[in-house]
Amino acid sequence: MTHPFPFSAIVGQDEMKHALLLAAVEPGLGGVLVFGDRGTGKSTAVRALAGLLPELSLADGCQYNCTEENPSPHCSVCNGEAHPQRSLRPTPIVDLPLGVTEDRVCGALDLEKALLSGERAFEPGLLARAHRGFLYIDEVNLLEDHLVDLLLDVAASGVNVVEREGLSVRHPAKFIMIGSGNPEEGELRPQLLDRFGLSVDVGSPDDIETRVEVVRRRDAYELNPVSFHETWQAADLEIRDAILIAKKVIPSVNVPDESLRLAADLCIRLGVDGLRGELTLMRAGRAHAALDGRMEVTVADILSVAPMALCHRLRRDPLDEAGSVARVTRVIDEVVDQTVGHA
Amino acid sequence: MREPGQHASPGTALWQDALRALDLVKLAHRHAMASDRPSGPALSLRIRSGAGPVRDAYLAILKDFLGDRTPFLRIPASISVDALIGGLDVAATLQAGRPLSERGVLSRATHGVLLVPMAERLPVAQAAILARALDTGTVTDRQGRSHPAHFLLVVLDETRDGEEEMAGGLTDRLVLDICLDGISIHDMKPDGSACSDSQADAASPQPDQLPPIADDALALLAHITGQIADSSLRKLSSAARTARLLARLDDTSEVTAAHLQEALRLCLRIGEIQTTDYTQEDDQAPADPETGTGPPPQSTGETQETPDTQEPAELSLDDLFAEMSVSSETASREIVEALRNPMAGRANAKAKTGKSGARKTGSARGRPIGLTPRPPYDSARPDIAATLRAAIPWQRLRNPDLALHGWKAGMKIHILPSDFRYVRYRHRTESTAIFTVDASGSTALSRLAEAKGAIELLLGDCYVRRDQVALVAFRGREAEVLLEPTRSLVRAKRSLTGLPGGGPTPLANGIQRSLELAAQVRQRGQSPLIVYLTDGNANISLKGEPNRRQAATDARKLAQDGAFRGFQSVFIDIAPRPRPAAQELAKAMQADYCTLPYVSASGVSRIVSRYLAGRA
Repeated sequence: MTHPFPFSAIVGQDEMKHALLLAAVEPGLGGVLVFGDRGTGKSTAVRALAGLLPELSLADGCQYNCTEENPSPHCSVCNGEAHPQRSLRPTPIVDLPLGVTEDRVCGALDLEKALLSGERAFEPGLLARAHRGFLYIDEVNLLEDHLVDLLLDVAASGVNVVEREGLSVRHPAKFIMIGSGNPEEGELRPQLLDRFGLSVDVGSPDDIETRVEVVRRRDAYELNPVSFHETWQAADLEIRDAILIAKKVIPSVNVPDESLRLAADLCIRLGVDGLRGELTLMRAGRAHAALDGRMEVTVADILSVAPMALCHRLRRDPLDEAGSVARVTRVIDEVVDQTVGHA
Repeated sequence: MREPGQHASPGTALWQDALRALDLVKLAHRHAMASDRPSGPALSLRIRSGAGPVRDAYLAILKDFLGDRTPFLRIPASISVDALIGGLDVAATLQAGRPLSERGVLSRATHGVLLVPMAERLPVAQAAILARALDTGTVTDRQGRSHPAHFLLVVLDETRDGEEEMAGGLTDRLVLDICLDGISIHDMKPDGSACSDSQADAASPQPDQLPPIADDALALLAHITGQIADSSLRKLSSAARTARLLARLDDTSEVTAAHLQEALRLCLRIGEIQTTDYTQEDDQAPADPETGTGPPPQSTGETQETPDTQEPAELSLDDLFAEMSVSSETASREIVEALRNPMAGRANAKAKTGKSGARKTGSARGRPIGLTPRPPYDSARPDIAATLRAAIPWQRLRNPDLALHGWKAGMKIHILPSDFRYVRYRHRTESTAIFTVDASGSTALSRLAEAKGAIELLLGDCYVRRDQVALVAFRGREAEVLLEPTRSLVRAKRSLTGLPGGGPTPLANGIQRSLELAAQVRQRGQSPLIVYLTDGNANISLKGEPNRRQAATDARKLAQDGAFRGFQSVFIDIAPRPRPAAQELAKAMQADYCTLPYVSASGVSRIVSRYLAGRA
């Protein structure tokens, strides 16, 4: 596990890779949902992200991933007398396994301490470990309902509130949620679907050359992860630099009225409820421009992120045979035709 | 290299394949032992077979191969997540007075074998953990620590036709796939091990130097695996790896067409001998005792000629391409057929189903309904207050100080594992609505279309209730399951396109199919609801003969049987003018009866929604 499969070595799947990078640049986007066939590199891409992300400064022994200036009120390390040693560590990518229990996710009474020393202490859960990082849920569509509700609540508020077993704890839990799944095994509730900022569909590549290339690279990686990592390191570092720069410039990227009007126009035409669609379009467009190294969001930026930002927000019509992606592209074409016509 | 055709019986050929898979396992194991870091994902083996002497013998050979020092762990089918990944050992901790954690089964199985029996019953959560361990070679325990978990996974798949299947995330990751059904005990040769020790030793343990696979060979594999529906890239990857391991086993310098063919058979079961098709071949069985036992002559590496002289004919890539394309098409057709007709061969399902299948383990959510001294579900946490309450009466006995001097502040409470109390919860179970639709007669098409619409509408809003939907249609001489229980709108849409209709009415068959399906659903721990959409006018008997009276009797008998087994059902009479016979039938199955002369998708969906939502 020391060397995950390099991100830049993933063959194809550009949309998925693009969406993951946008989410990494702009945490406010609300995460990515990757839906598609088995064996299309969903988990590989998420695990590969670890190699791309900038390192975080974390206190040694801190279980809440506290920032220096604003530590979690329950963290005994960061609020202690001694100034904790801080070091740079990779951004956490926390796996949320399917069989996980509620107390493991949000934290609970530390049973060891309760039974052995009679102390009432809080044992932080996975949400605390994912703070400032990523929370990855594989097979998110098979996750138990009560866990889904819990995740939704925390993801929306950025705070994990625990009220159980005589404990009353709240600690910050801001994370980027990445879900993946296979739609053949079950649908995702619309409420949860809507919370993901971006959604991409992935499929197995059809042409033989691509399939062969995938297997070749996978094989090379498995044979010798270290040298494979070295081969791709330069490409990975390039992406990493782009993310770093984009993160730095994104607050000052300008969104002109023209682009915002286009976003609103798209949402109205598609009948997307609420304002979340427009907000996501704007943020994703900004991240897209920042990754490209531009300081202004153009119409092209908005259009290129529109399918992944909108297709999961359309009101679902069970009797509609065409996919929602087709509907989004149709509307985009309409809009483009009109703007060209006006110009 | 063994060709299936040259053996005396298909059973022997299957057995040879199975042994060949063991040789691969052995080779991979040696590689793993020889290098300090495991190269690539461990091999994994799926054995399709019921319990029996052949499977036992096979596992015994595997165990002999690996020797006593290799861990060989068999997990119970009902293993808990905690036991898999490891965590705090509560009993030991209390005894020792300091936190003690126990290692999970996955980390204990490292460098050894993990055997999963009855894998089709393995819950999704446990399957997901296994899949992750296969991917990453590590397991994260409850405390968040990571342990190495690099093992050979052997999965015993006892799925019968149409019964529940293993979790897809796990099956996709398994490399070798062999079937022991159809092998009789006589097919097994006592000197079963085809690969002698010396041969595996001769295949030098240099994992980095597996024979290469040529680009056109890999492209061929990609093409063939691409033909099979739902085949993921993982399958291609494992077939390629298997072919290379096979080439190493035969000590050839390159992967040949025969290796590819064998790899496809071992990994994807393409081109496997069908035991039922066995009719001739007696004349050309050479009964060669030396088949494959000796090491094949060394190939020098400049040609890709197969050195094995017993090969009936040299296979070229083009031949293989043609042959395999055909067999992968048949394979996919068989898969489709199997999907469409999952109840085949389950005639005596009734005998073994009943209330016992509907057991429900404790639920982790819902309304609390009381306390229990046993954990009601995996990794349940004890309720502190109730545990203390249970422990306090015993303190005088357990603590002599307390008995002598009375209670003092700061005294410790002695708690034993038997004091633990857990809260039990109850929640509504998932429901599966089974639509049984009359597809006969002239109105069949519109009725089917509306049933289809109703299913899609129900699925459209069933995520909240986590309900599933299935469809059985009957017409002509038989009933078939057109849609297996599913929650997926995508899947439903795909299987519901183009439904056939018309012909006479085998109502009894339809009822029987639905009852079988309902029993299956109940076995999975969900509650079935059967929705009949028919006018109750049967004219084909259970045997498939056009006999109106017999047909009505059969239908009534089966209806009573369903009522006796306690399946809840709704009878929607779709006749333009409802007749009393239909009402009687509904009464016999103790179904709620309603009439809906003009079937509409929204009408049906409304009725069924009401039933699904109203259940506690």
